[in-house]
Amino acid sequence: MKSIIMILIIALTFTGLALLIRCVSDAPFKFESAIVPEQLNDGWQVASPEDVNINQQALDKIYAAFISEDQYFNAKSLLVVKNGKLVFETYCRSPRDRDRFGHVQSVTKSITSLIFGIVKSEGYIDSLDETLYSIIPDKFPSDVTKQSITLRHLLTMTSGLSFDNNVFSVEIYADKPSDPIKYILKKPLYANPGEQFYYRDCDPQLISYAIQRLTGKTEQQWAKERLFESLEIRDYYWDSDHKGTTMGAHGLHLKPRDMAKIGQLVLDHGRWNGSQIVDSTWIAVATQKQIETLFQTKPYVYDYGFYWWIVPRWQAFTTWGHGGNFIFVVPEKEMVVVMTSMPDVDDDVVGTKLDDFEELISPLLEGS
Amino acid sequence: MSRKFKPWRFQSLFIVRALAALVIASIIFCEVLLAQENEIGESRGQYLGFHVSSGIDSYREDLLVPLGFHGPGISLGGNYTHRTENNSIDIRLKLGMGYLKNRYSHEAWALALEIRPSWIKKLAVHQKYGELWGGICIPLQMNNLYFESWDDAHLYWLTAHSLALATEWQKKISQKYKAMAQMEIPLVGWVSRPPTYRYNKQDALNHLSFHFTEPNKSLHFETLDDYRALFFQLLFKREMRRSLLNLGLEFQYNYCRNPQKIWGLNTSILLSYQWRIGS
Repeated sequence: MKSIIMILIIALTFTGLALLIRCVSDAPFKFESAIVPEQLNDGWQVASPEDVNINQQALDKIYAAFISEDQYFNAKSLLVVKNGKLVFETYCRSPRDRDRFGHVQSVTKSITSLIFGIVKSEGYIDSLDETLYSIIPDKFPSDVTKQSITLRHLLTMTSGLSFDNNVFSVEIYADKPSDPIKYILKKPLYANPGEQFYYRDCDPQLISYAIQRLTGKTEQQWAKERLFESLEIRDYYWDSDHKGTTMGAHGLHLKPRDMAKIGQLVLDHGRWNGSQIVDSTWIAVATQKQIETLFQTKPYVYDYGFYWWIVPRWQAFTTWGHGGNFIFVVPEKEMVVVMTSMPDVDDDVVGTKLDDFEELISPLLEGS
Repeated sequence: MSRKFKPWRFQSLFIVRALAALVIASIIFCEVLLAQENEIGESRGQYLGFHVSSGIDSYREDLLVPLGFHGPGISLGGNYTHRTENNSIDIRLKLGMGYLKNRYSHEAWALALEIRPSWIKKLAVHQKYGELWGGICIPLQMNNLYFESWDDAHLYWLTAHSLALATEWQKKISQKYKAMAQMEIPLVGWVSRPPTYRYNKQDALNHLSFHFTEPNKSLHFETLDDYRALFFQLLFKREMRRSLLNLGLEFQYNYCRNPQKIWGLNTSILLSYQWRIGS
């Protein structure tokens, strides 16, 4: 009798506790949300899709895919601008995401490109073929090959410096080397400067520091005074390293509508509300193919401008922030599509890569 | 993309809880039956022991995504017990680790570290139903979570240092075997949670000390309204000449509401061995 009771106790206890595990159950993490943009006093004019000749069915198809919990897991927002008007806007995780900024990861690089264009047009930089050594000789080791790294090399990710992006984040943010710029320049070379594209965070970081040394102002100060104020971008955050150098490759936190403004600015050749904010010549070269990338096999057929990705398939160019943060500009259609996502995910598992994003918005790109 | 039915998505919490209540009621009923057949036992003295346990860990961290992550867990630990006729002091140390997946097979890791000092006093003795002890416990718990797929740059955690009520019931069920049930319920806690928004791109995950210091920063006072936990252990003890061999089940529940909800649930089978080191 006793052993039967013992077995019963153990069996029931196991069953009960196993069932209790289900108490930690799943809840929905994406929600049906409004898709019609609200007219706010933030510099955007809203319009209906019909007003700008966008097929509503295409938008519906995109929306259905976007809010599915089985794909684009970490997506937060999707916005469509056409003919300078905001026509579609949705926030699948929380409607509050409209009014709060998020880390846009490598979208920061594209903003760095715009700031570089502003600084160049101010006459601080004569030529992209100036060497970095000529700007910051005190930071360089006595390696003649490294001293030949030019601004163009840095802008096209061809410096040759071997500093993996994951390692960069950990070492710059966590280890906090006493002189981050010297630390970067001490890294070995994987190739001679200018020889090979290799997507590296250290190259934009050196550009950010070069801007700071050339002008006496940080990249962030330039952005605030010459870019964000003009675009009425007021609520943002931009991280710096522990020595105060603005992070040139990532660290910028923006709101989705403000990202769309960046896209519209670039679409309009650097103009916003009639004012020339960024030199149109710079916009033209930054968003044209400057270098062949490693992504030359399907589905990654992308080229690279100056910190802008070129998408020949759609005759478009885009920012590409880790996780799925995009400002996708299609000049032919006068269209800007913005997507924001949770930024720190594993792109291969949870994140949205550029080809996934293209697939998502393809009904819009294929339609009239 | 259509969603297929998956049995593990079954989430009728009412049925689950009703079944769990039924199971617990059955256990109590069986324990009463057993109690009627046996007499009270004792294992007084000082004991030093170690344990190994293995089971299932579950966590849901709403700061990131409201998806449950479940998977196998293992823990190792040790304890010191000094039990006299009417008092018992117990200090337990546990280090646990879990490998978790959500319904999409996105991976995560859990690391648990806890110290549980407790003092309990004999409250009642019944010839048939055994001994009831009661007192206090100060569980110092740290649960670190590494959601590799959803956030590979930051640490998530639930740290709780609490003041808990501790109860113990024990009953000798044969000449060599004893049954023991322990339960601890925190009343108040000093709790630490990650910030709602991460401004930093990267936590210092490559620094070992970070994993212990960061989750213990910003501890703030929480009442039962915001922080709830339960620790339950059911042990069958085999008394030997100078040692005890214990086999049992351990159940631990943690919940905190701020800044977003988090749940932790650990269920494991536990095997421990204790040496008598003094009287």
